[in-house]
Amino acid sequence: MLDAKIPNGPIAEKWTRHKFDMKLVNPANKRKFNIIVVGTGLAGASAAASLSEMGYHVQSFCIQDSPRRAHSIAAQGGINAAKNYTNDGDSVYRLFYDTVKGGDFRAREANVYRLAELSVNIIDQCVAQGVPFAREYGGYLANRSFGGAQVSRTFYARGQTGQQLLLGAYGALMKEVATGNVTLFPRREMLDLVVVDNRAVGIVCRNLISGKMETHAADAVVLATGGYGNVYDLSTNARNSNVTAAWRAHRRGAWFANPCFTQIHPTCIPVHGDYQSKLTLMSESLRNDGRVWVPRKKGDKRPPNEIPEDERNYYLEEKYPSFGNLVPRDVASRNAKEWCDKGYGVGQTGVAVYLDFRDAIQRDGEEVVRAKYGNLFDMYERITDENPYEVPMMIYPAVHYTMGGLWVDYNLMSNLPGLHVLGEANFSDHGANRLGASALMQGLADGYFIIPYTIGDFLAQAGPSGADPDNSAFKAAEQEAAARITRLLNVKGKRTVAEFHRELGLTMWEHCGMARNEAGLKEALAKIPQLREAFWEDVNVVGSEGSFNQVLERAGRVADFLEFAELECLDALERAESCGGHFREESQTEEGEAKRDDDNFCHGAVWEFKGVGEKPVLHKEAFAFEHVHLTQRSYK
Amino acid sequence: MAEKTIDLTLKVWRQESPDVEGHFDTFPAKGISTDMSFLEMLDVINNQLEKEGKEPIAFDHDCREGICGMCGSVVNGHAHGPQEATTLCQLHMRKFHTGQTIVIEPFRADAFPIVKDLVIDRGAFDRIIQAGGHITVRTGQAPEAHSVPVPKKKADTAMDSAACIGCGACVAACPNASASLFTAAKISQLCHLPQGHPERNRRVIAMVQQMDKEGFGSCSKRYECEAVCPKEIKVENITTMNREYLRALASSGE
Amino acid sequence: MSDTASFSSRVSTSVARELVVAVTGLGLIVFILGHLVGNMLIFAGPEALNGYAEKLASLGELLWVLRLGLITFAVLHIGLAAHLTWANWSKRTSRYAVTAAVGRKSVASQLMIYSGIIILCFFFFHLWDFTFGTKTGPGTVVPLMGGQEELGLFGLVWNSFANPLRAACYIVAVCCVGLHLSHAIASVWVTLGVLTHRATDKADAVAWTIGVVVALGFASIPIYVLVRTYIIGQGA
Ligand SMILES: Cc1cc2nc3c(=O)[nH]c(=O)nc-3n(C[C@H](O)[C@H](O)[C@H](O)COP(=O)(O)OP(=O)(O)OC[C@H]3O[C@@H](n4cnc5c(N)ncnc54)[C@H](O)[C@@H]3O)c2cc1C
Ligand code: HEM
Ligand code: FES
Repeated sequence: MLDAKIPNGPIAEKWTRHKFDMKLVNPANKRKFNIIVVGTGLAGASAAASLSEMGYHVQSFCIQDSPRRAHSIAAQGGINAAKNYTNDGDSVYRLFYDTVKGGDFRAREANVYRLAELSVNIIDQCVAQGVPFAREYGGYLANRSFGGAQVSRTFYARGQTGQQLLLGAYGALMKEVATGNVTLFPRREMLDLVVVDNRAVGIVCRNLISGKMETHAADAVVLATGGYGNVYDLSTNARNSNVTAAWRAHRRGAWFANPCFTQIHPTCIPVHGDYQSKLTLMSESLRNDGRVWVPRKKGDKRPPNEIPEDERNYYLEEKYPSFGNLVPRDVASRNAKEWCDKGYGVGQTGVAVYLDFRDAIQRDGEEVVRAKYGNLFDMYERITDENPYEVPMMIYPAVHYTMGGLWVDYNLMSNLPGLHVLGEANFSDHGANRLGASALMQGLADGYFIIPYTIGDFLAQAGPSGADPDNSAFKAAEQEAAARITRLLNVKGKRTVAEFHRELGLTMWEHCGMARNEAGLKEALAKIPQLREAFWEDVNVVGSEGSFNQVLERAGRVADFLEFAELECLDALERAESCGGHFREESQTEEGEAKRDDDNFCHGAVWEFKGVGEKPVLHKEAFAFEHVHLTQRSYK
Repeated sequence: MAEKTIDLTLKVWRQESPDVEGHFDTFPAKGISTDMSFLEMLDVINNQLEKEGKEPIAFDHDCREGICGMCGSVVNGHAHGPQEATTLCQLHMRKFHTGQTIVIEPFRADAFPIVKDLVIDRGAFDRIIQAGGHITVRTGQAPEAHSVPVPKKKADTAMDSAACIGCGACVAACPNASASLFTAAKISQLCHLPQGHPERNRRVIAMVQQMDKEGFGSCSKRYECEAVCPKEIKVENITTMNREYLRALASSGE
Repeated sequence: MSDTASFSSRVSTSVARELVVAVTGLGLIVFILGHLVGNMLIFAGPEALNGYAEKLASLGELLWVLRLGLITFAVLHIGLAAHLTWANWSKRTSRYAVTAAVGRKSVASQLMIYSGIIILCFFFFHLWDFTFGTKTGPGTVVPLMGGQEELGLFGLVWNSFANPLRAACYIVAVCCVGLHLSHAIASVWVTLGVLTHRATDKADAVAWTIGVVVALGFASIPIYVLVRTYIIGQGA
């Protein structure tokens, strides 16, 4: 059933051969095809622009008031590319190797290789668009090492790489809107996918300003709707990030892969009150100079600067002498949790650890530290009112990225013909753990360089869908979506949507967060359906459907999270191994490190929807590792 | 994070839809933690309103870390509130004191119609970018990135301009509701890069024409835009835009 | 992008209008500064000032060319500036309930149109008074220490300013010129696209200084006359 459609041939030639083998749509015919692209982040904007340049008619949808505000805008650190400009031995093969290994061997080799191969074109494209990457005095592009990589392959634009890349793609999209080939639909939320004869042919969405339902038909649908990190309520994701588009497609037959693969970022500003709405990421680069510690004495409430050196526990440096504070994200996160769980956490809540720059400041001087991290320190101070030049920062891990997503084949098409999924929304090339600066790379590779080819192959073979929004399938989907909204408004209970979201988030964080175990997951699986039921009985969605109504918007998203969360926990329960960001307490080495079980779990877990509350059906895509050999990660 | 609470009075602009009259509603905001962000404070008020079955205050937001440009209101006469170089979502309640009355209004400009309460329609900005705020290069046309070196200083200047988040505070603060700073920042970014040169003349004319067409005012050099800009985009960008404009006028045709 | 933008549409944008206001404003500034230097001759005595006036008059047709140029500049400047101001006023029809002082906007920048209108009114008055006023006859006779003498333009000016009310009006008007310039001279460089990075603060200071010098320079004449007439006593 699950055919990944990986082309034959040596890995380095697969993509080139495949490009040749794929069918083409002749230029005159492209004009006759209509493509819906949902999402205007890096993946969606780059896809929409490129498809329009090729001659397809594109309809581009996003939730925000402008495509430029998609969540991709917030990425800070940078984007990887195997340019080897620093002459330090990088290559397409090494980036491929690092990505497979970093993902803890839970990704498809052929896809990852193609990603590494295309990474170099992305930089060229972005430079040509006017993306102001950091440069050296000679006028050439600057690179840095990021997220513990041993080569410097990360390109960046100050601390605003995502913003600059997105504005580049947005510019390209605006250029196409001006030609009349792309129609923009901002402030639209996709609420359903329309499937006719097992082919995705359109979407139902709500106009967020007027509240009106709209149906749109097309010959192919591309989802680039981002990740589902907000199932945890608090995350580093933008507030409007959601699982709705992907989940609705799942309910219509698209299979969901590896939902339990979520990434927790170790350096975020800790939670400081229950009014908290968002967790702010502090760049990973801080760990290059900051030292992570907790007091040796449990519950030590002294101000940090009064705690003498020998009473500080630099736990990462002690446990991982060779990597120290630069261990990968998942390892750093888990250790922070461990010490806080044991009662050594700091700050008012006791759920934080110190990230201390005292030694760096003494060694290099405040000016040097300011030059490197000034912006981040200012941001920290703005939020916490504490000056990190004087007192150590407090940090704690937070949900950041989701590797799981809708299953796609090598052509980025889901199991539902006509439905393509790009960017963070697909179950991606990052396996069980994503390396820093690789999400931006993947989003743009998908949008600029993969989908323009593969969608042509699909359209050339499948031909026009002939879909008509007056068709009964459209009407039925529209009515269903409208009925759901009416139902939400008619509950008229006592609890707010935010309260349900918070409760769901806490449950997920507790049982399906940094460390998971069977008992906890079972508890969550018992609790989530109850919460879902309570939601539909007691939620209070104020306002009306025929107007701009943010409560209603969020209610719909939370309702979908309440269904999705169950799948995520089930997947986590099913995967009784630890790998990458998925840490099962039952599966660890003697030193407490994640232990994979390649005999039983060297596959992608691909779920088929069978109804709310029904047990979904599990399909498996076995992963073969012919080039990067299965090894256990070690950072000692 | 020395937590403290304050009591405030909020006067918030309420407007059902673009073409109905708006008015101010007054809400007490009691026990507000000074560690809250401004938007979290609004969340708390909204949660209370929802509990009472009333419609919460509509306000735009997304990233809540000062980069998406979605948030923004005029707080006691200041676009994005009183803290310099800070978006509304990054403003914290410790900047206010007990007993204070906070007047919250939408960004007002005829080119930014009010959608609801504090939510506005900034589509005009997209149309200015459509007119020319980009480089016409197709996917796949790009040469190797290192084939054109860009002096560091130029790249840095371009980045300074490119930092604009398109929030519209410049328009909100300008007595003429001018979009000059926004438009100029994009023009300036692209004219500092060699990649932007082939289209520079066409770009500046088209973007300025669109800016006028959208109903924004012109620049009277009051510099209020610069003062409220959360990303500290400088008026020098407007100088650059005007220079580009002169240059475009001087060069015949392209 | 419309690359067919015609010449007329290129020169009718707000930025193009600003540019014309700036160029003509700059021309007017040159005139004002020249005028000021000429006026200072009053302190050198009647012969110097009258001699200067005669020299100007002897330019004949050239003088009219200059005057026409000046008028064209003034008409363009005033017309477009007023049009821009008028257009800008209609860009925000719903007002803010609260406004706060933000940034470095100066009072002068907010009063451009008003200082301009006063300058315009003054301009006509001034023409009627001095340029077209008769420079011979009773109005030009100044009481001197010992007796009376007809002093041409010098006499005309002197007698005008000896009237405290007229002098006061004149002083107010030239203060408006100073005020107008204190913003204009900084802003014009931004409009013309020549201010280098970060120079706007300096430009503000320079403009303010020139504004004050111009206001004081022109105002010094009526003040001098008043002081001589009423305090130190008796005439030129
Ligand atoms: C704080 C932070 C920093 C990061 N830093 C980095 C970094 O340095 N390097 C890196 O490589 N990665 C980084 N990442 C990850 C990276 O930013 C994201 O994975 C990536 O941008 C996702 O892009 P996308 O195009 O898939 O989706 P998004 O950018 O999330 O866009 C989703 C789009 O879909 C639309 N949408 C969603 N749902 C619907 C719906 N139902 N109907 C209609 N439209 C919808 C949205 O409006 C939006 O336009 C970071 C992430 C965060 C949170
Ligand atoms: C003594 C004569 C005058 C001089 C030297 C002068 C000079 C200038 C200069 C240099 C500018 C700056 C242009 C810019 O910012 O680019 C300016 C602006 C302006 N002038 Fe004048 N001006 C004079 C008379 C007038 C008059 C008579 C009026 C009108 C009624 C007027 C109205 C304005 C206005 C409204 C502006 C601001 C335009 C804007 O930026 O919106 N000026 N002037
Ligand atoms: S919410 Fe994104 S900038 Fe404020």
